[in-house]
Amino acid sequence: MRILVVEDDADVGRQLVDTLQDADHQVTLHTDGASGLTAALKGDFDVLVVDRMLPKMDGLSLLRELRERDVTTPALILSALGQVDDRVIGLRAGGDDYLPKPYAAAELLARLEVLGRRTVSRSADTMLQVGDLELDRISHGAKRNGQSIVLQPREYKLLEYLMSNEDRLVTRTMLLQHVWNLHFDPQTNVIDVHISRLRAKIDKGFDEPLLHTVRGKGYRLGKLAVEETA
Amino acid sequence: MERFRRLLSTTAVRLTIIYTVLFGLLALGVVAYISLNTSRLLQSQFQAAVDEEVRQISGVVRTLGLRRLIPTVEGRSRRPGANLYLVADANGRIIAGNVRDLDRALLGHEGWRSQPFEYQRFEDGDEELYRAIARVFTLPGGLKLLVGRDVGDATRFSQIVIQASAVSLIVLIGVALLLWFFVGRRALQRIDEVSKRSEKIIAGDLSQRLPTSGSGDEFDRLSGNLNAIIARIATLDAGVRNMSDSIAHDLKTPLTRLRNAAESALGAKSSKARNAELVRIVEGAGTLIRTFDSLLMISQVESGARPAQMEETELRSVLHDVYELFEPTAEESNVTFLCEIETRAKVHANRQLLAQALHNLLENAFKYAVDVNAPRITLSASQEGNRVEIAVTDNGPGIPPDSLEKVRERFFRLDESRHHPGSGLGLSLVDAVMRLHGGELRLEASEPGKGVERHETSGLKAVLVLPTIG
Repeated sequence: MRILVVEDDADVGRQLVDTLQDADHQVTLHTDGASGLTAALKGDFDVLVVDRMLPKMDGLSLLRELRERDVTTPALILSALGQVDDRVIGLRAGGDDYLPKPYAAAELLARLEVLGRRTVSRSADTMLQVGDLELDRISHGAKRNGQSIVLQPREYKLLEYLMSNEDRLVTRTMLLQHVWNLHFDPQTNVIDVHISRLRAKIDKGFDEPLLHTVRGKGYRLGKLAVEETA
Repeated sequence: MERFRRLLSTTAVRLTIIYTVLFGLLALGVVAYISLNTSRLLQSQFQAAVDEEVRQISGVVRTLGLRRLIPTVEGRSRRPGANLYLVADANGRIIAGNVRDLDRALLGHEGWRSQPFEYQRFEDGDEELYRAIARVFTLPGGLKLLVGRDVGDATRFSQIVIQASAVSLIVLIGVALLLWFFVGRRALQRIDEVSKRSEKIIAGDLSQRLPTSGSGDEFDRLSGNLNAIIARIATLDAGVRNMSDSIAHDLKTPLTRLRNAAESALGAKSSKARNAELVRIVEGAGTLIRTFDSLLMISQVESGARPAQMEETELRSVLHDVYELFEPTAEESNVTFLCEIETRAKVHANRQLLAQALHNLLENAFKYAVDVNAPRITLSASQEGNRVEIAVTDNGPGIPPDSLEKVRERFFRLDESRHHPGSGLGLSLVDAVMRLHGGELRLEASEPGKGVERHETSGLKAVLVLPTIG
């Protein structure tokens, strides 16, 4: 993906660029809000990573300006301290996701993957399909290999989120956020239990498992278990 | 000098100066008004008297002829306290009267001369110049009659008035200065005392309090409020000290463990063993980061410096979401998990914080209750007057009565729970969240009376009390 990073701190910026380049992304770095805005308006980026505190123009103003000019490139906001309401404020300004610093590299990459592919998202499709697993977004019914699977409402939401992010790493925090609309870091295994329940419904009795656990990071739904390189 | 400069800059002194100047100006105005009006009145009285004399003398001349003029004027001139009289011929030569000399040009102007002019009296050796106002009247035969009045008395009178005003002004300013000195000095003395104590407090002695005189005046009220602030700071300060001790103590252990794992990784014989240690390091570091996240979260919630967004929240939906989140966990660990919501109350709350508080309580309940026989956890809510009570009740080991308060402290963990993973911050956050919402966290035994004996389970009932809307 082509990623624009707007971050004024040299160390953090360097580290961000390294992390993203290691994951095979093309990265452009800008160190102040004004030049970041110009770059975002001109350049063709898949996703933006914007720090909240920036010289010349702060991150939120930058996003507001972009959205006013109808630039819809998905943006992730980074903020120094995860204040209770920073997320809400950031999303209101036109951000699409929010991550407090310091963040885990895996979490950042997972979120950027999900954001960056949103442009080609299948949010409009009425049917989702991964391998022989099908999900009907209208009837909320699922089928695997022709056998219908009965889903509880929350299981449907969980599966829908995983399927719309096919082959992408999804962290526990992301799941709690999108499926339960709860924004904290679950320090328990509550999410794992939900996943294993869902797994029992969609994978049990089939040769090829679709729902994979990515050790220490989260989950991935896809035809092939891609081995993670940490 | 320094002291005088400081005295000058006190509010009391400034006010005194302003009042003195204002009052002085006002007094000056009143004096000027009175003296002006008095001299006007005197002058008009003089004029009326002079007019009357001119009328009488000219009457005498008209009825008895010019020959009676001189005796009449001479007679009047000799009266004690007499007015000014002068009769002159057409050439300005003085014929009669009690005026020795004056500016002859005056006689050429018929009528009133109300600007005081100078003249000399017919008194032995008296060369002094007197001042008077007069009227000139032309008699038949070109004779000039001047009748006037000395204005010396009037001048003296206004001098007296001016002197009196000056004296009273001086007295006024003197009193103001005294007042200024005493009021200002008193204020300054008390401020000095407060400053002295403040310096001690700033230097770190939080046991000091500002002095109060017991009079209940504005200084006392101010000192009282400041004392309350100092007391609050002292409490917070103690809390911070306590906490940094705890942090140092409680974070040292996991850090040491991390270091040990790193050392074993360095000395690992096989790459498999090394990887296993690295995984331990990543997990350990993750736990530490989460601990710090929780700490940060608690202090943010507690400081209230940036109030969390509160909105009208339907309690039922939050409780259901959280119940549903834990439901599979209950099923997996064979816990009877019940949800008994008997209220449709709405609360003014931050949904995320409330959900996290409930999450923490349930997390605790599941952590400790699974060890007992037939574990049972209930999430319930009921309305009590204008408050709603949300309870997480378990039949786990519970908390000994003497530790029920301590568990809210950051990093406090019961010895019995040390073998469970956890940071000792869960209940601290719940407590902070409740205080932010104007509610409270109440902890009690779910089976009262039990748990006093060792190894006896009392269960735990954690109650969130929140004010409801409407």
